[in-house]
Amino acid sequence: MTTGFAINFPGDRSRVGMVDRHQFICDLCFIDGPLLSLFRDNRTNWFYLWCDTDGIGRDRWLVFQVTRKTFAEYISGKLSLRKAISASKELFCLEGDTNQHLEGESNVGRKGRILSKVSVDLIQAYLPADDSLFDPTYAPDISMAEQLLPTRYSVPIGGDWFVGDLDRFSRAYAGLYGFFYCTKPRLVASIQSKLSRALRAPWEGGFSRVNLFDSLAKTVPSFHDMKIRRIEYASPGQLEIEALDSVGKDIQQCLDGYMTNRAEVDDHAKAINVTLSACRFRRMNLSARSDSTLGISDEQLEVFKNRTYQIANLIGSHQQLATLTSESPNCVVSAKATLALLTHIKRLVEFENAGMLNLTGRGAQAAEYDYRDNWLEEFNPLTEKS
Amino acid sequence: MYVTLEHLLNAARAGLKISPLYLKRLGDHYVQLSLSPDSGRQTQANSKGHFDLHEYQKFDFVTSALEHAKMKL
Repeated sequence: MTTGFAINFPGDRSRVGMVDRHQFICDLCFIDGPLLSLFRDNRTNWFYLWCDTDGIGRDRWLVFQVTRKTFAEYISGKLSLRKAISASKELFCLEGDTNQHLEGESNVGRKGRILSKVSVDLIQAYLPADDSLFDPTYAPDISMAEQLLPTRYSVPIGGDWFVGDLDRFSRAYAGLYGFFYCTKPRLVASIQSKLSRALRAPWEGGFSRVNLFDSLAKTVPSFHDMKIRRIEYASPGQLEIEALDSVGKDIQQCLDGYMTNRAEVDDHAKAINVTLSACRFRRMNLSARSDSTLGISDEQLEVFKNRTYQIANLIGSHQQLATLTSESPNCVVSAKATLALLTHIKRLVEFENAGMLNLTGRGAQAAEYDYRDNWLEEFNPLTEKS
Repeated sequence: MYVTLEHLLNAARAGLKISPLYLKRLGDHYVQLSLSPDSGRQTQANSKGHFDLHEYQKFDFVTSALEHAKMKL
C-alpha cells in the first residue's frame, strides 16, 4: 500500500474557521467507519464525504452544501451523490488529522487543519461513481419509516406586531419545535441521544434550561428546520412555514391543552416548585443521581413523578414527556425540564391572549389593527401634498 | 469483520461507489480466519454480514489465518 495523497492539495485556501460552525447530525454512509456524514450550520445542510488519506495520519474530506431539494432527492434514491456534488453552489476540500474532531469543538483539534475552495475539475479523482445512490442499509442512523419531506403549513397571526415580537415569537416557537421534534422517532434515528445528553447537564440554574431548548433546536437537521416561505402581515395574516407539520400540530395541541386546563396545570407546576425549594434542589447538580439516591421522602418523590405525569396528560403531550422522563437521569430533572417546557408554552399563550397568534382557533385575532391606517400622513406635509 | 468474503466484497464495492479511494482506508487485502467460541466474544452480525470480534488475549491471528489474498473487486 502506497502512502501519500492521490493529488496535491487542490484549490485556493479558505478560512478553516468556516467549518467550526458546522454541527454533526448523523452518518449517511457508514462502512467500517463514517464515509458520508450530514452536518448543519444555522441555515443549511452540509455533506462531509471522506475522500483520501496519506496513510500516515492525515485525511481529506469533500465538504459541500446541499439544498433541501437535493437532500430529498438523494435520500429518496432519485439523485446520485456525484450529481449532488455537481449541483452544490460551493465545494471545499478539508484536510486534517485522522483523529481530529471535525466539529471543531476542541482548540487542540484545530491545529493543522486546512480548507480550500475547489472546483469539480480539480478533484476528479475524489468524485463518487455515477451510480452512487443512497443505500439506507449502510445508514443505521437514518429511519426511512419516518416522515421524510417537510410540508408547508400556516401559523395564523394578527394584531399589532413590533420587530421585537418577531424575535420573542421565533425563539419560543423554535424552542418548542426542537423539543417536539426530538421527543418522537424521526428520520435521524439517533436524535433522542441528544436529548439525553442535554438532560444530563447540571440543571443548577437557568443555563441548563436555556441550553436544553437551544441544543435541541440545533439538533434538528437543517432539512427539517423551520423555513419561512411567506409572511402576510395584515390582521389577520399568516406565516407560512416549511417544516414538519406533524410537529406544528403537536405544538398547537399542547397550547390548546394548556389554555383549556391552565388552572390545573399551574397548580401542578406550583406543587413541583414548592417541593423543589423544600428539597433545596433548585441549584443542586443532580445529573449523576438516580431516583433511589436523591435522598428524599417517598411523598416528595411522588410529587415530582405524579405532578409531571398530570401536566403531560393535561397538555396532551403524554408521549413526548414520557420520552423526556425516560431520557432524564431522575424524576427531579424531568420535572425541571417540564417546568422549562411550560415557560415556553406560556410565552406563546401570551401571544394568543394578545390576539397576535391564533394557533388554537381561540386566540382572538384582534381586528383593531389596520395596516392600511397611515395616520402619519397627518403629521407629514410632504405626504399630504403627494 | 464479515461473515463471508462475499459480504466483505459487497461492503468494499459499496464504499468504492461513494469514495473511489476507499481501499486506501480499508486496505485491499483480506484474511480469512478460523474462529471458535474460544477466540473471543463477537457481536451479532448485521444485515450486511458485519460483526465485531473482541478477541481473548490468547487468540493468535497468525495461526488462525486460513487464507490471505488481495481482494478481487
